[in-house]
Amino acid sequence: MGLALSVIVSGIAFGLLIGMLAFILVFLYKTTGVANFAVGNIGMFETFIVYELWKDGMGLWPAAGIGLVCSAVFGVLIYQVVLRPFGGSQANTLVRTVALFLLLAAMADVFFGRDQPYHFPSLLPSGGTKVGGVLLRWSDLITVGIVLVIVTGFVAMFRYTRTGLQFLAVAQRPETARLLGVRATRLSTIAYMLAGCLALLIGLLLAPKQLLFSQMMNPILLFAFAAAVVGGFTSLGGTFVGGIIIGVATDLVSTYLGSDLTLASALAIMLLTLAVRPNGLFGTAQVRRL
Amino acid sequence: MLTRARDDVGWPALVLLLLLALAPLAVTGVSEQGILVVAMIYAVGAVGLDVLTGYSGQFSFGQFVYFAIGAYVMAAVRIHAHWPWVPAIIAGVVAAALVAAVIGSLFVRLRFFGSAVGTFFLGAVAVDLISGARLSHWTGGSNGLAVLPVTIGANSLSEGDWLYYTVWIALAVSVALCLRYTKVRAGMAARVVKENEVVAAVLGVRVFREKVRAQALAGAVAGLGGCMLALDVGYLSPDTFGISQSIELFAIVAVGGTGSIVGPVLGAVFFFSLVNGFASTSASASQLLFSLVVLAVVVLFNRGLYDLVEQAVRKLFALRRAPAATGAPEGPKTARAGDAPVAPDEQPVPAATAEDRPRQAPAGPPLLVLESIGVDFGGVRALGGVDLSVARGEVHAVIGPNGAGKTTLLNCISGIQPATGRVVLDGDDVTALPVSVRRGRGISRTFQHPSLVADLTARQNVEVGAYATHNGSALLEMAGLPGTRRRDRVARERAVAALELLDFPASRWGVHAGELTMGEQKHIDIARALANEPKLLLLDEPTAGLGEEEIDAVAGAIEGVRRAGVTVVVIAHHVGFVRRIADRCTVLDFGRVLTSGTAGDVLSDDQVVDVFVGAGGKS
Repeated sequence: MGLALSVIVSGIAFGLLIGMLAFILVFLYKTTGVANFAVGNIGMFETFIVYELWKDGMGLWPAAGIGLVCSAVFGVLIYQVVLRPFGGSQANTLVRTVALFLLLAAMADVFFGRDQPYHFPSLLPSGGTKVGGVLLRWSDLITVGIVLVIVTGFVAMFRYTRTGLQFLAVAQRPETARLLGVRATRLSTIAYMLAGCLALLIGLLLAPKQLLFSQMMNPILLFAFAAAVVGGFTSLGGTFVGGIIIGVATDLVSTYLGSDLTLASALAIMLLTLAVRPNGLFGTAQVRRL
Repeated sequence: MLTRARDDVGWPALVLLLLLALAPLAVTGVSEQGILVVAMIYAVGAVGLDVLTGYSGQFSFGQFVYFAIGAYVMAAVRIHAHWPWVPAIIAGVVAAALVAAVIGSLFVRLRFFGSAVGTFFLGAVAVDLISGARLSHWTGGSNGLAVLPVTIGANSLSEGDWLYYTVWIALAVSVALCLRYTKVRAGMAARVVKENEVVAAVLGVRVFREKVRAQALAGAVAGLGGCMLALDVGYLSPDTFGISQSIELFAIVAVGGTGSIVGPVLGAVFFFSLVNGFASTSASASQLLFSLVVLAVVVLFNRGLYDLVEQAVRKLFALRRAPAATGAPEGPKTARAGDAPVAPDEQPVPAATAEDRPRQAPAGPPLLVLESIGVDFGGVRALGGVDLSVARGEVHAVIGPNGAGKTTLLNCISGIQPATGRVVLDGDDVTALPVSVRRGRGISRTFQHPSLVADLTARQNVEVGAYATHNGSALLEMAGLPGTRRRDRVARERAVAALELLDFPASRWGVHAGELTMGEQKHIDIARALANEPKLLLLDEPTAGLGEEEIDAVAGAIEGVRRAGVTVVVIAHHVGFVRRIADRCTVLDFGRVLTSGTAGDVLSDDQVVDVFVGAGGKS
């Protein structure tokens, strides 16, 4: 029982990371109308940059700080150089993100990947404490804290800033918002900037747990898609609930049934959700006029 | 990205296949031939992926799952059941097709986005399952599985010319199957689905089934590709069938050009020449180059290689033929939506009004009866208990201000919109029947925005609507049996009859629907609805956005339809138009019937004038 509880607790922490990636996916989906396959690899690439800085003798925290600035620039570049020019259909943009997914993995392999995978130093303290026989790792608790802070930040932004309100407007009624003078390009640029920073954060939190290599984000990207679908692809808050569900479930499955079923269980949860509630737990149906 | 789908690629396909057949004469190096072999193997599956994406509008980022199924099933039944290799290949292909159909039918519900994610997911899960312990008796787990040698006489099909031409034959089969599919009814129906699923359903197309068919076809040829891959590599390991291969396959199709069958083959040859051209430097460098090329193509030239080649060839021929150009289609007609003078509502009554026409007394029971139809959109009462009865053979106009629920009412009749109450057609309660079945019972409709398939010709668009039923086996269709041919002929004849009934100029029949004027598109939409010989034709604002002349033409067309004995329910705003064509008229306001009666009475009713004029004039 103690083991199960520990698994659940670490599942929740992992689930929040999944939820954060899912949050980025949905956030980008709502502002730019496309599911971005490259989000995970964006984070991976940025983490590599931090790793290179650190390896060259810089302290981990300063390296992370510089990495954060780079990530903001990187996000803007991706939107302005790759996704925006000759903006095409939804399908075209989707394929662009897939091409970007390939490109970033290849770039990481060529530039950084000679001896991958690498051990990545943790920003968070190791060890933990026992509460009633259940092991709580400091890193897990801090992860939970970080996610809470970020969510609060976003909620505040959506509620109290003009830009945040515009995001909500675009997410609800993109056409109407545009007609009312919301500058969609500017919003999308900001969205990608934020997404770039959050992706780095996920990379920094994830890399010490597993290892740093060009394919490191593939499983969590899949989990994040599943979480987004479970939470309802239109609901920003639902992504974290979805993330926790997926995180705990896959942790339990890999502990008790074997790791070859981890992805399969996430897929099964996703399909089951779609079968029972096609719009996810918190999503709303989208009505289309003929 | 989803470019125009073509059905005129037979010759280019033949030329490309011949070039590939002759290639060993020019490309003699063993490793170069090996590259072409791998390219052709990918192409076998890429062509199927093009059917899925370019023709039926679905996505797959996990197509290598079906490569894996084909390869592993073929290898396993030979090892465990000692099957000869020909049945083993067939087993592999059939297994891949079946699994694709099952998985496809799960993912089809997820729409564009969900299926992209779902298939990507599936690709990853499949690798886990293949390499895991659960299936290791069949797959060899992460150790892999040796493929028993395949021989004809003393010749091994796994090397040299025998391998090359075996793979070539597989590619030819795949191309031929997929080309055939694009030409038969199933392929045309899939293209309507790609354009607009609701419209397809209203045309009687069984959307779900057509999508699953495309999935099965794509899965089958991918399975064939997997068998070829098994021959080529001789040893199956899970890494051969990963997500990155699936994504590369998709990229190959995107670079080659979707909707062209030939393009993906070009794309595959291009990809492997490129990758292997740089293989000497480093594998990841060539990956980098490839992903840069994919990105560049998708961003800068999203129609792909095939389009590039096609345009080059066109220009070449155009130079040859120069002045004696064949009758180019005359420019679009002048009347455009915006610049036509807007008809004032109180315009003088045209000479021939419905009143003057000989009118048969509504004979027998009414054709359509609606009983207290109600629809709520989350608290908004769109329709609040509408009763309506439409007599056989009449033209019944439904008018009312915007938001009165007119289109919703048509949606209820055609079955798109679930509603409370009863819809009775010809004495039968059809309330519980789905959209495509109602079409079979004789309910056809058009849309405010005619969703024609832009890359089918005007006439082909009508033909899709002309099938009495979209049931039947796609395999039989592709075999071109006499029964199928008869069915196609009937559809063609009906389409011609519908086009002639509407006086659609024959010179425009062969024009792609994307190049038709708005007025022409509305005509084709009506013809498409009419081609199925319906009892009841529902027209949703056939005059919206049209100029005076075009409105006249539509009115003429509706009169023709009426003479042919079809009952018409038409939504219109244009009062002159309603006076001209309608026998009876129902006014909706706020989801309720305000009044109903002969067109003349209703239009001069004070209350009606109030709703229209009082509520801010023209609505």
